[in-house]
Amino acid sequence: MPFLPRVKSLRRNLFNKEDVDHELNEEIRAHLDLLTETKIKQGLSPEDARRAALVELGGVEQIKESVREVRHGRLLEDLAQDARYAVRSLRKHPGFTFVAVLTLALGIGANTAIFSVINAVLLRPLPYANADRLVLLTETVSERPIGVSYPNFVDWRNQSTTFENIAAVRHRDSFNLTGAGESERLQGRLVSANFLSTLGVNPIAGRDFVAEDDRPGAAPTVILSHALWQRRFGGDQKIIGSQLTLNRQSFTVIGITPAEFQYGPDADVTVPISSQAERYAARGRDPGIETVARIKPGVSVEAANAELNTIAARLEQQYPESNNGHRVRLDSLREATVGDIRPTLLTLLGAVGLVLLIACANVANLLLARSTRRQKEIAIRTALGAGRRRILRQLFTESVLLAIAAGVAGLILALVGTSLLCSYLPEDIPRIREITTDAPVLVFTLAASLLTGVLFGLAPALQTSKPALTETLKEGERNSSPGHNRTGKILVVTEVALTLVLLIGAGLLVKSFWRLMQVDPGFNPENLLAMQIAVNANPDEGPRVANFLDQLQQRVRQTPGVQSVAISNGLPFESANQPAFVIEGQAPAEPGKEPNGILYIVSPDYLETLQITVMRGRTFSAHDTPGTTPVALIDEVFARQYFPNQDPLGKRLRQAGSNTEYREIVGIVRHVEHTNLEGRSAERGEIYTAFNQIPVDRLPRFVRRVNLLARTTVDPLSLAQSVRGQIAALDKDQAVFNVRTMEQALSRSVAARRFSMILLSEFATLALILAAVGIYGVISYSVAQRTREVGIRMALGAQTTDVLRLIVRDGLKLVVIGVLVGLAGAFMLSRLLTTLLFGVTPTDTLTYATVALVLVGVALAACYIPARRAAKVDPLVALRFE
Amino acid sequence: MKDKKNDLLQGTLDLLVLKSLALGPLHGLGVSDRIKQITQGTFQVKPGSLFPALHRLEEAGWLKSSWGESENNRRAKYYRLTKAGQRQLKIETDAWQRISVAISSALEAT
Repeated sequence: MPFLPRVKSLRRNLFNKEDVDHELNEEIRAHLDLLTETKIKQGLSPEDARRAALVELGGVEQIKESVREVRHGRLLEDLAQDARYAVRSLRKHPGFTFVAVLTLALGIGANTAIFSVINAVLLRPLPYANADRLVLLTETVSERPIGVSYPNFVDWRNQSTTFENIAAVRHRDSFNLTGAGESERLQGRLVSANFLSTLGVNPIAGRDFVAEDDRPGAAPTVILSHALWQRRFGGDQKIIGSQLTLNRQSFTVIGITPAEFQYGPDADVTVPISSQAERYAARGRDPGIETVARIKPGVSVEAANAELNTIAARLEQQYPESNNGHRVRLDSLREATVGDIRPTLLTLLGAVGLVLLIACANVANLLLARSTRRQKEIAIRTALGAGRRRILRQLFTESVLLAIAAGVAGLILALVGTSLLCSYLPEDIPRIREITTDAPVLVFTLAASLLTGVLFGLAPALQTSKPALTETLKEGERNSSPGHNRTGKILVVTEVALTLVLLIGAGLLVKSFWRLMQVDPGFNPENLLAMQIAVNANPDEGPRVANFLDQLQQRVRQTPGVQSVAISNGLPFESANQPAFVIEGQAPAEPGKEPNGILYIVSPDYLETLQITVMRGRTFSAHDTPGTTPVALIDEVFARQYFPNQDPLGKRLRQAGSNTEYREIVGIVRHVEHTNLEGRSAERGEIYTAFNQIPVDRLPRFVRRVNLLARTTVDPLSLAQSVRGQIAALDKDQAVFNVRTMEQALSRSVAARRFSMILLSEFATLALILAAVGIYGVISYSVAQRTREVGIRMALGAQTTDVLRLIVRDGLKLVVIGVLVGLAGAFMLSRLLTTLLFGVTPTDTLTYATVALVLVGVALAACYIPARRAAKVDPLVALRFE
Repeated sequence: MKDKKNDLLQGTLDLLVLKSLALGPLHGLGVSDRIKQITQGTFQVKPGSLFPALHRLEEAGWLKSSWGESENNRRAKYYRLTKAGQRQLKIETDAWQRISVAISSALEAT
């Protein structure tokens, strides 16, 4: 077909629509005249001729409509017309429009917010070049992960060929920054020289480490984080090459990491690991090193894994003493980073998805109720020649327009919601700083809106456009379409079922959390202030350190409000060493199965300060000194595990490795939850040794990080400042950090749970409200329809209670069906929640029953209001009503 | 009503309209009379089909319309074939003949 005429006619059809219409009118009129004339010629009277011509012509409007149908630009024109009409019709019913848009906006907004979290955390690749080739290497002993020992890391790196790079990093090392300005506690990480290059990150200023920087005895160098650079040095480029004093040692600043760079916990400073080589020299030690590696392009994870384990097996033969049973595990860095949070986020996405479905059902119901009122309008349009498809298109345009309006509103809600969500999110959720509203999120919102529009528009549109022309026109105002009510009822049942599923999910999480809060951590976290201090001392400064610690405890103890004070190396909900032990008189254990436990090195007042119960024997006393018999306490779990059927008291054990001495077990204490409240540490026993028994010359090694604990009689945080003051009075350069109460530490350990519980509960509540509104709507509608019937019943002697019962029973029937469907659904779906539950099964009867009752109660209330309205009907008015 | 006709029928109508205009311009009533005449009364095209067909063919660029006077001095809209319309008539005629031969022989086959 020629192109130009088409464009011309398109332009004419679109922009000179009235001319075109006028011409068509003329044409048809001329046709009619000609026809009439022919009839007259055939011998009819003018009137008869005219009538016959009209009959032959048929419906003029329909002809015109079908001519319009074949014109170019028809679709565009229709769309514009439909949109205009839709806007007008929506504006004419602001109440309906507002409720519909708000309902959908809540659903779309919640979905968008959760999706932007999922997009950032789960979907987007990690923010490193070719991040899919990055893996985390974990050393394992009989499948149990342990930290990587530094010499093993060096051997892996030197002997493997399938990796571009293997880098080591040790997180959470702290540095005291002294010198110009206030002394400051900095978070740092120790890394091998290739750490940044392995991740594919380049410093934005200065240079990266080179191998020469990462050698024992090399000149100390440091790379600063962008944040520290800005905060402390005002972003001054001249900082490169200057000297910083960290831990009383002078470091040359060589580079700055990019602002967006993030890996593991935040670190202000990054320092070559060899600067501390002597700490990590032993192959048998587990200094908490993490190794991240980049696989060569084209090499499979399996191949890399196989090669690394061959190397590990070789090392095992070479160093049986330390490497017995040691293997390596490879995990994709992405999986290791976000794997744990995935079930939580997916659960939340599922939940908001359900909320959106419920919102759709509600709006569909609103549309249905409205469409009944529009039957007549539709019928007239049909009579004027609009086909069913044309009507459907019109109705869908309205739904989609509603949905897009809701999408825009939802996006705004989501922007607010996302920032709210981010402040809510527990700190340890990975990648939360990467959450943004980017293109994929916008596409998601658009898709969600359009899908929503089609979804909620479908049933009402099909219902409304059903050609039932004559009935509708005849019926006039008195309409009651049974079809509408059936669809509406199905929608209500669906809503109730979905809501129940959500409520049960939330209920299970709430109960899990409640269960968790009932767990006794084994110590009393109330009124317990904890802080960390790092004492920097040379190996020969033992006596000074001992003196400092003594004075420190004394001074803090004298602070008003402080009841007792303790210091420790290792603390519940903090990191602690987990060494292997040798028990005197027991056969050497199989490799990897050596007795091991969490080691706390504590001052004599520690147990009393934390209020840990001594079950048998005694606790430490001031008499336990370097000169007396070395002693140890064990907890009940350690006793059960390694001294079954015997009395541990008086037995002796020593830390594995050479150069350790046997300690006599003098007491058994309660087990303390170490990592969290979920009992995952229950299988790991705990051992306590006395700080006071550490020989003075070895003391500096144990005080790089010391916990100071104070049991208070008042709000612990109110004493933080005065305790800090006491420490500063003792040594003004002594940095104090990580000040918190043990209750906070405990609460932080359940933060992720609290987060998902609160969020899911909020979604469930939203769903409940929407469902209640939905039930209310449908019952109100049916009450309005049955006004006449109710009037007749009352005229015949029905009492108010009879009417109430009649209406409520109708509603309740729907609710009960919905509840049954929902219970079945929850029964099937709740096992997806298993990983998120604690102390409660996915099919917990009590939760199911309670939640179902709550839902029925709310539904009952939603039915009751319209029912009471029905009961108040005046029979006379009702009978005259129509 | 404007229910979608199947393609064969619509194609037939288009062909007949084009054919009816092959000899010269006609107005709408003229087209339907001429079709009735050349098909010996088999096809009586109602206005409900005629006008959409005329406009469809005009949109396609095969017809061109203009206002003119009828034999009784009445204003009427006249349609005539364009060059493209003549080509189209040829194409459709050939196609129709092929089909009609094929169908006939198919129906006569034993």
